[in-house]
Amino acid sequence: MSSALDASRSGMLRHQAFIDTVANNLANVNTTGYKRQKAYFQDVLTTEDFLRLVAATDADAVLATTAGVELSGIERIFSPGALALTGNPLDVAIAGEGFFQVLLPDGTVAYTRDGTFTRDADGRVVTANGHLLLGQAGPITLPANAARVSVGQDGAVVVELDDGSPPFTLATIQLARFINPEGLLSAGQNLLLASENSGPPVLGQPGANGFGRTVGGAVELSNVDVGEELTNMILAQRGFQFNLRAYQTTEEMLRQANDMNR
Amino acid sequence: MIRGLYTAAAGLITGLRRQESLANNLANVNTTGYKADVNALRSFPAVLVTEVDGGPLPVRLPTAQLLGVLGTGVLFEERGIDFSQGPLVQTGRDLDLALQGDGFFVLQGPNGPVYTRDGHFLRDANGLLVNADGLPVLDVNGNPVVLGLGPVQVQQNGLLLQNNAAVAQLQVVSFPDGGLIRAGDNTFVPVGTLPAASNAAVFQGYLEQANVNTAELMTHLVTLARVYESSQRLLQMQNETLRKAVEEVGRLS
Repeated sequence: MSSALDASRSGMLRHQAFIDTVANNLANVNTTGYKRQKAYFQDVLTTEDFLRLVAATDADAVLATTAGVELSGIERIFSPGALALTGNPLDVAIAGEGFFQVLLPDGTVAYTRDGTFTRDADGRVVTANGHLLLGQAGPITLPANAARVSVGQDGAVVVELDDGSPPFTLATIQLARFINPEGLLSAGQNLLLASENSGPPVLGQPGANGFGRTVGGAVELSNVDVGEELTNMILAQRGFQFNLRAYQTTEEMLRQANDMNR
Repeated sequence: MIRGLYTAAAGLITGLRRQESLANNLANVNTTGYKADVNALRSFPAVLVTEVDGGPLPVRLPTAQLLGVLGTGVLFEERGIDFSQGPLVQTGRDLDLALQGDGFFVLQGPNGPVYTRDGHFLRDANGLLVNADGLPVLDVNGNPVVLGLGPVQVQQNGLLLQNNAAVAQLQVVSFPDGGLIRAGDNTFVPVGTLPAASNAAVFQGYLEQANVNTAELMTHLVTLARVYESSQRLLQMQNETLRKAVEEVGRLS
């Protein structure tokens, strides 16, 4: 049977995945700290190409059972998003490389660029979902009588108490970097987890050794560019249509072959 | 039997093969560094036709009349690859590299080097520069490129810098004599040809798109469908002629 149908089918499926990533990015255009995703494609060996390859190189390649295109991956693009001032002292953005570390209820550490922190009932600094932010000395607990809190460029959480005593550094926010951030796994809620592909986290102080600076009173907006996503949507949609047309034409040709003896 | 039957059948077989090529190209319209399939068609050897029963029986052959040349259809000869430059599109990602000009990046495959125009590279957990399938990218000395944390600058001559210090020189080669075949996953391997130096420029923050011309392919798609239909009609007509010969010619009553 003709591999043309296979090729067009794979084209439609992969372009569907492409459309899905675009839709996901557009849905998160206003999600703070969101990093957009992108689908990458690879060609697939046809049986014919495979036989040539084996004859030419003795390669022990896996027999291609289909033709067309496959996804090589859907990856996050970690380009910076714009910073927006919010005036909320516990909103922290990272200008440059690095991730905040947050403690999940099961004890694992997750990583995020979403710095919209708040104070929970016990005075601890938590994410919007209630996960603890980790400083150099573990979770950060603000004193009950803290009048003002600010975060410096080096990650220092400076607290001024309501008794008029001079401000002091309560804790320092620690950031994590990865050799391959594209290898981090999405865990939902704007959180990412380390994986075999990402490598272990490299910890450090904001503003030093290539780590980004922390900016208090601001959040990082998503790095989704609506214009680019709409362009991608057109590419994905037209790509789908091209493959659908090819599929229909092949189908028509095969129908004619079947009708030959009428 | 009737020669035309085979000529029409050759047209049908070739039509479907060309359709496979077209479908493959269309499936890869958004594949980075994809190089389009091109079809080479060739006619079957033409035959010299003679009138065999032109003379009296004992000396039939010497007096045979030459009637001329008859084509016997079309043969799908080769699925070649069109290595022309694809458009470069800006991505802004520091490990997205595109080649402008004749050349390939060199990857360390499981059975020796493989060659690609897809410059979407990543760092693996050990800092090795790899492609999306984890194959290491090789430098001019044939060693994998190892990067540290932090941003990378890539110059047009393929020199990689980190913190303003040279880290590695990417290997970029060309195959002036052609001879590359597809190896899947956007890679190619050479058959009987050796790589030569390349003067392709490396552009950082760009990816090369597929060199598939969709407008051209859509017109091919339509043309091909109609040619296929014609071949099919031709076959049916020959079939009808044969039917008449069997059923009507030589009927007694």
